[in-house]
Amino acid sequence: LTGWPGGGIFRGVEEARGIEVPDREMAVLRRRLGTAVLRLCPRWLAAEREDLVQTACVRILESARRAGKGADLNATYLWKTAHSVVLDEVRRVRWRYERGLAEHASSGEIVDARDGQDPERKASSLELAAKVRDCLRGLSADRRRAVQLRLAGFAREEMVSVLVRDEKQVANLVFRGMEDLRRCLRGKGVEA
Amino acid sequence: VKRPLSDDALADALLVGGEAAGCPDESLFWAVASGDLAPGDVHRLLDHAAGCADCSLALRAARELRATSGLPLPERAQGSPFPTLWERLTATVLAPRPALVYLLLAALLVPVALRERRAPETGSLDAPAPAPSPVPPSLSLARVLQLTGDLELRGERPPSPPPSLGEGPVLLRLHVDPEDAEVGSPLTVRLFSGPEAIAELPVAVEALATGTIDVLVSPALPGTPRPDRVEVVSGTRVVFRQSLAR
Repeated sequence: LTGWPGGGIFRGVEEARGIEVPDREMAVLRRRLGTAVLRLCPRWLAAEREDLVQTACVRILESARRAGKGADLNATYLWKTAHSVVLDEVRRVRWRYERGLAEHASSGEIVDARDGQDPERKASSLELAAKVRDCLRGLSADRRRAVQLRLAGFAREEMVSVLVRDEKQVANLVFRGMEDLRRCLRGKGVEA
Repeated sequence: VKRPLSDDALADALLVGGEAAGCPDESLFWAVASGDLAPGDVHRLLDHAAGCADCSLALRAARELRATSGLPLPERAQGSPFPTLWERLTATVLAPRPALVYLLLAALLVPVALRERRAPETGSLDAPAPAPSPVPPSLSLARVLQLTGDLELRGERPPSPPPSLGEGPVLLRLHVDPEDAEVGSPLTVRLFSGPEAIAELPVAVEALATGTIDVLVSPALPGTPRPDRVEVVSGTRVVFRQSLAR
């Protein structure tokens, strides 16, 4: 980052915290961060997205300030920091969510993965999560890794690079892996 | 109305529950998304993340943030959607295994070609004989057709129209999943024309190590049907099936 000109998206936040307002690069980061968090957040975190982005931005700024103006605060540094901060924030919100699920479960109010009509709601239950993970672990290693990358949002060409396989093999592994995963879930009584 | 779980719902399910113990440094997942890690390291991280919601989240966050960051990808991760001619050749007909097959075939065919060439020499001693080609033209011109055989094997609708063999020689590259094969059972490639098997080729089980089997289909002799289906059988189990257009 070069210079910290005033104004911009962060004004209210930075003034409240006494942090200098960053330059245009930070504004771009904030906008892109919002896009990434929107895609990253599971449905059960939808209501928290804006807060999450805001908190993440504040923490990135704090981290940048701690590093000092003389440090090499390039875009890679900022995005790596963003990764760490967003993870912390999502985990914090998820912890609240999981605790809520557990409390419902102990009081017998949890949404049973087999009873709910909305599959997206089912996906949020701990029971379903355990089944998905169990089935995932039952896949052959190559297929499982391809499915993991697919579910983490990796495009096929990215998987080709990460797994060092050709595109045909990747397509094959994803296709068969997803089939195996859904078959296993159906065997466990999940509509998949 | 019940509907199956979407991929997004499955992805979300991986982010809750699970046991987080002995987690790797989360910056390593950033390195995965950046294409900076060796495949072995990627495998270890993914194997851990399979049972860990925290690391599944770290992986997903790294991918999303990396993709939206606009940061340039390192050379290996960039890849080109349009491989160069040399890359295509080295990945297909000049890959080590096909190249070795061509070499062996050429070595076997050279004496045959020389013997055939000697016959007319008796009648025309003056005519200069052309230099023998080390690789028969039919092989050097082979087109490569890559097939996965997934859809038909699983009873799903095959691609329409099916891949075409065309007129000339074709090298069928069959992507067979080693997981589907019966351990220790003989492996056979069968070519069909209608219900009838017109060719049956035993294949070394070791061919499955890379998951690909190459079959060269040369232009049909007069009166010989072109295949319209290819299957791979491991023991008694069909592990690959693909229809072909003649």
